[in-house]
Amino acid sequence: MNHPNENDEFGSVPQSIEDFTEEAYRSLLRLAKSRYEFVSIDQFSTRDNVIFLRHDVDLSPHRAHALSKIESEENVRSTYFILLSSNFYNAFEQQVAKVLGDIAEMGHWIGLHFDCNRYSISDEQKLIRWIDFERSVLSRLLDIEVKAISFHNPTTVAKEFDKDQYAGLVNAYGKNLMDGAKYVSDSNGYWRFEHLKEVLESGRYGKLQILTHPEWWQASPMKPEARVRRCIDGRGERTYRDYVSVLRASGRVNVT
Amino acid sequence: MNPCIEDFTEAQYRQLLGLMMTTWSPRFFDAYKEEGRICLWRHDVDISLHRARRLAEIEHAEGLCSTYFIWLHSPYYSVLEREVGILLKKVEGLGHRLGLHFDVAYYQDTIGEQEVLEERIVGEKRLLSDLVGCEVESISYHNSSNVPAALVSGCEIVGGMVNARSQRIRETFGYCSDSNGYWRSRRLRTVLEEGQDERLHVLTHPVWWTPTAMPPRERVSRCIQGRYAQHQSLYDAEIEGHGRENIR
Repeated sequence: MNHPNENDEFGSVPQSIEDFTEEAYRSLLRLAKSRYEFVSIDQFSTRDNVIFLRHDVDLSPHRAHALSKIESEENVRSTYFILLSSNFYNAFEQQVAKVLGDIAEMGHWIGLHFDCNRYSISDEQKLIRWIDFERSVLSRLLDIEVKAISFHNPTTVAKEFDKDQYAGLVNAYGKNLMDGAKYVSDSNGYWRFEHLKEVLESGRYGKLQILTHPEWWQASPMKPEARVRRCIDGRGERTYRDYVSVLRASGRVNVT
Repeated sequence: MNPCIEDFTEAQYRQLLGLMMTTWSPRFFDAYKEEGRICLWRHDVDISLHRARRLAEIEHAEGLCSTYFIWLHSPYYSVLEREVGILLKKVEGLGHRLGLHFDVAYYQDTIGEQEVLEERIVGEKRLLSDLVGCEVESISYHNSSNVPAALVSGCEIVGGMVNARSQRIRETFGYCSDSNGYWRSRRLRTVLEEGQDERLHVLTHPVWWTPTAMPPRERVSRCIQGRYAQHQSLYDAEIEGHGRENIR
């Protein structure tokens, strides 16, 4: 375990910022595929020695794209859950839609990452109405079938929604699915309970649901807040560059 | 070129509205065939829904109802974002209408295929309408130079919506636009003071109208920075709200 000093021990799990690089990600995939098969959510319940690898794309489709390319090189398939209501990206934006389309083209599955708070959802009827709306939007946007859902911020109102399916989508937080598998997540940019590498090496589990958030995996090591900043800065800079290039292309003056 | 930077403040905006209403009667786009001195006052919301909301409030206070054209493919905001959804409802709740600001460039593979494009247009109209819970009855084009001429100028109605750029509207209304944060052809104040246009079509982009005067580039930066700061505080609030460690 690589934890060179006390500051690198986030919470109770020994780990270091070097554990969250693209290179480290590739190593984890190699370790995982030496012991498990990677499957989609609808294959997960009926098989053993399987991993359902999922990414909740909260902040950065561009980081998601980087991870999907690494997975593709390693012949691993995973599911990318797209947050249509994200504050950090617009799935309809040309560049974002292209990146998401590329991920699907590589053979990865696309799911819906749904935020109950977006629609102030308090009951199941309202939940199904808006899941159906977003499922249809995402499906048309990328011209794909969407089969799975994960809830954003599952510790809030969404924790009450633990059925196996909603609006025909398999729920990644469904009770049976969660009870029947070991769950490991990188939420907040560190392993909160157990390090994924240890879980994989232990060989204790027949089914693993692994959740990552692509923004936490960068080309070089940095602390979680810096990783978020990098995504936000990148978006701001790109937005301004686009503005200038539109002006230039139209032969308009950029009055400064 | 004098960019008339001092024209683009909220206070000036309020004055311009007053000036317009002394000569013209404001109308929504479905009244484009109406005779008389009418004004179609429109906003293409390219960059900032927050600025749109502010202008909507000023207009409401001055007794004007206008049309806000919403761009689904904006890199600067997302209509599915919670806060943006609230702003859209606020604008609509003030008596204004929402239109579709349609970006043909997004559908590069089908440019030139009019039927396919119309399907896309209807799809976007439905999405916006279902999302906000209102009718969407007019359309404008983002960077209309890419749009097939038949859709831009040939049709008065596209996808069941009034086309703000139809030949008929172009030919029967005088036009003034603040594109790029300055007056490229006519200055709006002059147009309103002279009152020579029998019928008038005004286009603004909310990003250009700020509390204090500043050059256009700074106005865009202001919006980008505002969004940046919002992202950062959302992240901090979310992580701290869950009682998690915010590792810096």
